[in-house]
Amino acid sequence: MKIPFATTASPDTTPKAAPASWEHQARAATADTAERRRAVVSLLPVAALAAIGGGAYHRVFAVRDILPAVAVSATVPVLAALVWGLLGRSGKEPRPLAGSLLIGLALWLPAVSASVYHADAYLHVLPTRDLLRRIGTDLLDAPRGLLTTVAPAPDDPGLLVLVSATVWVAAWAGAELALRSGTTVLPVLPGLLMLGVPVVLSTGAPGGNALAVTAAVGAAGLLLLSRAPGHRSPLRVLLTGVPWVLALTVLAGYAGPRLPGTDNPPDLHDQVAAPPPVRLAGINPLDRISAWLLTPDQPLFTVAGPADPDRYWRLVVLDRYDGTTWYPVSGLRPTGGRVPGTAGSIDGMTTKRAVQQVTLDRLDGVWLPAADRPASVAAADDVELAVDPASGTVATGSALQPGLRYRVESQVPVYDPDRLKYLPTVDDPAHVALPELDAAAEPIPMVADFRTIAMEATAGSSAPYQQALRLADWLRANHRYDITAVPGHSYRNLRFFLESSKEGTSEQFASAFAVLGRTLGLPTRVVVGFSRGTALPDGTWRVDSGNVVAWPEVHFAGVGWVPFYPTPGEAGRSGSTKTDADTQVAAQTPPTVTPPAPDSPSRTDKDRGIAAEDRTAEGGLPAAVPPAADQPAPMWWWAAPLALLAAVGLGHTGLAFAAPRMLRRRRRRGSPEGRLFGAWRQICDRLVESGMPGGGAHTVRDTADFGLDHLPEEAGGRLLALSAVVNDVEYAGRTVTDQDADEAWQACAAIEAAARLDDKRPKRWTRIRHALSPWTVAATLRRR
Amino acid sequence: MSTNPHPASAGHAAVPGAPVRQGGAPADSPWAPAGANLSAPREKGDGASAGLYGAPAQQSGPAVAYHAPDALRLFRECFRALADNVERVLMGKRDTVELALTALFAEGHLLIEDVPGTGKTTLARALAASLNASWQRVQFTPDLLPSDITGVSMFRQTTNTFEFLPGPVFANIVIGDEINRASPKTQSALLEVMEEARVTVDGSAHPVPRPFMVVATQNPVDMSGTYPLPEAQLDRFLMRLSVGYPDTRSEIQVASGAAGAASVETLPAIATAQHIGEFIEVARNRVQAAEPVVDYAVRIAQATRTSPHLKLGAGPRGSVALIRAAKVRAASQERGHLLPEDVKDLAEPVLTHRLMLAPDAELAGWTPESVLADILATVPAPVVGGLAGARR
Repeated sequence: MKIPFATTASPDTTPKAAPASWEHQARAATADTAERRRAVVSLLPVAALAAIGGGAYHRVFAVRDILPAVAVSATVPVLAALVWGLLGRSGKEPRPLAGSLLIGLALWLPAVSASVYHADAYLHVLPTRDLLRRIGTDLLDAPRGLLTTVAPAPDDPGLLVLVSATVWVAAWAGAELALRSGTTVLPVLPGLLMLGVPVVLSTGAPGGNALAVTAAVGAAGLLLLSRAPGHRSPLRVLLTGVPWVLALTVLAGYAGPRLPGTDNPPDLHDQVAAPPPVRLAGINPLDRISAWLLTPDQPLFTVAGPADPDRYWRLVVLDRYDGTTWYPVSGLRPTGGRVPGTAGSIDGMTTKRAVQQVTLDRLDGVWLPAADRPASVAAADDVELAVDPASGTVATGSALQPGLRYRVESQVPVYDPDRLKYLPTVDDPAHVALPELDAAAEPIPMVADFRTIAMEATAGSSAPYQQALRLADWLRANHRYDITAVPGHSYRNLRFFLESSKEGTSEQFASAFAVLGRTLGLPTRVVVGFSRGTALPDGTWRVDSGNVVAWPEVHFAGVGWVPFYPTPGEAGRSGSTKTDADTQVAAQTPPTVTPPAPDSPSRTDKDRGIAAEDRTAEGGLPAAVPPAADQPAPMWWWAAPLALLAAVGLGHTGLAFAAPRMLRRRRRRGSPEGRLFGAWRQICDRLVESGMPGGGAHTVRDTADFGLDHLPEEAGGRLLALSAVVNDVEYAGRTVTDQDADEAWQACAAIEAAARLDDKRPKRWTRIRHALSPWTVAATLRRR
Repeated sequence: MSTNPHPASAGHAAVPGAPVRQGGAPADSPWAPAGANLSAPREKGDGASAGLYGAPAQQSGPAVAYHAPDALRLFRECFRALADNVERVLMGKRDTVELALTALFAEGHLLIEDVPGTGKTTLARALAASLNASWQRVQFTPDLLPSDITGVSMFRQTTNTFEFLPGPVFANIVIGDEINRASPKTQSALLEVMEEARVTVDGSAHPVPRPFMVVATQNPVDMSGTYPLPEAQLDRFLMRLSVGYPDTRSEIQVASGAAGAASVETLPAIATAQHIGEFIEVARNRVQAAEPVVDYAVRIAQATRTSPHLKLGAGPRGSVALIRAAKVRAASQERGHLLPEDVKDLAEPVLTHRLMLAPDAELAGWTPESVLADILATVPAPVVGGLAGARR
């Protein structure tokens, strides 16, 4: 009975069920050697996987900062484990794991001292007693420190120690598992688990993990291949599995970033380590506006770089009001220079990049001026930088010193009034709150008065943006700018400003706008900053104390905080000493760096139009335009399984068609004897395709008999002659010459050609289906 | 009592103790070498060649040392000559004849089982007639006693001692016709001699001549009044053969009494007992059994023990017999090494009579032959290249 296309191995390639004792011993010895060789070879991808895991810290640290730690930590423990595990082998029993653990720890201390703490280490390598204590402390504090730091983190050894430790543990554990465990998968786990540490820590940091994850998948695939069970050499397994690894790597690179959840991963920075917002103590810049205006010639800082006429330098954001003063509440975090949450990250928001070099002069406090909104700040290494991710303000860890220089790169947003026109404000109670009760829990009557004023000022407004514009217009129209006005921005000051004096500086204008806006339900805040300053002959801009200005901002959904400028431009006539164009800060000039097109109206023009629009003529509030950010993102995730299937299918198909050719090439290599037997096995495979029963029960003569029955006479005769040679070589010890091997392959070619002409051969589609069967591919890869 | 009632009818000695026909190999024997270089050294002044096993040769002629370079060639020629000779009376049954000769050179015993009239006895007699050796024919009947086969001790008054009178089992070839008609007790009388080549009577062991072969026949159809051979007895037969009906052409030739067809009585003797004994040593010692081939034979035997269709499989004696027979087959093809094909080809005649079907399998229509064929189709043959690879 013929069994067409039996899926088992060819007749002469199935291992024997009961190996003889001598053969068993030989195989056991060979298997032991091969096992050890596989284990040693697999150490390479183990080290690579650990190094890739360390490289994934590139979003948390600057690459140059982590390179030494990663390089040392990925290689040294692997080499140590190799030496300890193989050279230190006592008989057949491996050395105890505890010894390897101790050696690993003993080596890590000088390694981390040399690669991370080299400045404090003895001879730049050996840890001192104090350094050992510090390493321990830093290791405990590093995770929290990184979670409270805005990435990229500074090259603080106290933080970098975590890189060294995690990479070291991954490399050591992977190497030990590779050498001690016979399993295929286990050595992969430490590296992959360790990869999760930088991925979690880098949440929200610039850049992506796609490259690291892709490389890790590739390294993990190579590691699995190098440990694949089998009797072939690891190198050969690597070669045969590389197409699969490549396919999986490409797939990981393509589908990884598109998997659900990768666009919004859980952020431990906010959930675990977010410091509670604190009211920052110290001199409030808003309180100093009057003083600065009265002594306007103090040089505060200079700015080198392009500056637009309407550029305002932002100093601090004041977002809380207690009825007496505006004060900043922020969660300052250490940073290596990056400021997260730029306006450029908002969909649909146009921004323009601006880079300035700032040199401080007499500016004091902790706040660093920068164009809104800063994306990165670079200062000297000894300057501790901190940012408030919510407001984008930048500060230092210590008081500002004259001469401090830093470089600021900003993404300046360009607001489009047409888009803002109908946008709703953000539902943000913290930025709408006003104290309405006094110390005796009695209602403060001024709040109601302010609300009345605000409603009258914005009567007929159809949308929050129009409300804000009309409020600014009302303030500008009904109040004057005067630097000698009574300073202060408490409820009383503001009532005096609004109802009595109607004179004030930008402190009062901005504060009044913010308070009136909050009575209308607009989320507002006050920003203190500076106008562009005075141009110097060397092309830089000097900003003096007289350039100080405050302005309010309103938070619109999908756009962010939008500045308004309620301070009137006629301030100079009220006694202000600022007479240059830059001090005319009260004009409603939006701080855009993009000059409007000649034929398109500017924001000021548009705002005038919007403010003047009649609510009744509009026929009610139009439907709000959904912000771009709220639009659902393209659903790419469904493509991932399709891409996975396509990649697997392509890889499998390629392997299915490549495997027989690789097998044939393998059989044609080696000694003449090996080539002879390779030719015979090739013939057997071909005859199994032609209907010869598989399963390995066929003897050489049975195969020849089948060929005689199914092949043309000449091919059958050659097969019969070859079978005699094969039996002679195998059992009679006949020596095989190159000529014998060549003739065997010639006979193989003739027999294969004859078998292809056999009418009883299965149809083409049947053969293709059989060739694509995973079992066939697996059997082909296993065959000798 | 029907032990060889007509001993003279066959032209051979047929009574215990009668002289056997002796003589050298025919001069035109194709396998008998003229040169003496392949023979063991002759004793000076003695025309007979010295036996290799200590026993004196019974006649002159070349004695083949199993280590002689051409021993395998001589074996093959002798084997072919004997097969040709037997085939003269059993026409068209070359395979059966060669299997019978295989049993002879493997020093095993042969059970020929077939319906009446197919040439069972003829084969046995032709085999015996082709050898210049003693042979006895015993017709097994229900009243046959063990002593009728093995011999008896008689008291001689003249010497006042007991004297052992050997039975018909003391011959090189013992033909047991219709062996299943004897009682189990009588059948059991053959157990010792078939396994150990000796008979123990009254505490004294009496060896039978070498070579020693029991060729038994039985009829599988007419079972009335028969006693099926016990498993222990069946296991002692090296192989079981079925002659089968001849093809038409051969049957016509036999029926017409054609000139080419010879009778057992006119068959010439081809070889002597000494030659057979020495060729047995050639097959045993000159043919090397590689480990994988022996392993293959053992795995086949083991597979019969684990087959769900069999109540009883082949024991270790079966795998030993398989290798012995395979060695003879290899030697008959002038090969000094075993092939897996030798084992596979001989598995059926050597093993099937040792298999006992399970009741379910019997009801399902399985036969020992079909079960063994199924086993042979599943037991993996030795891997090509494995042995050569191990040698490297």
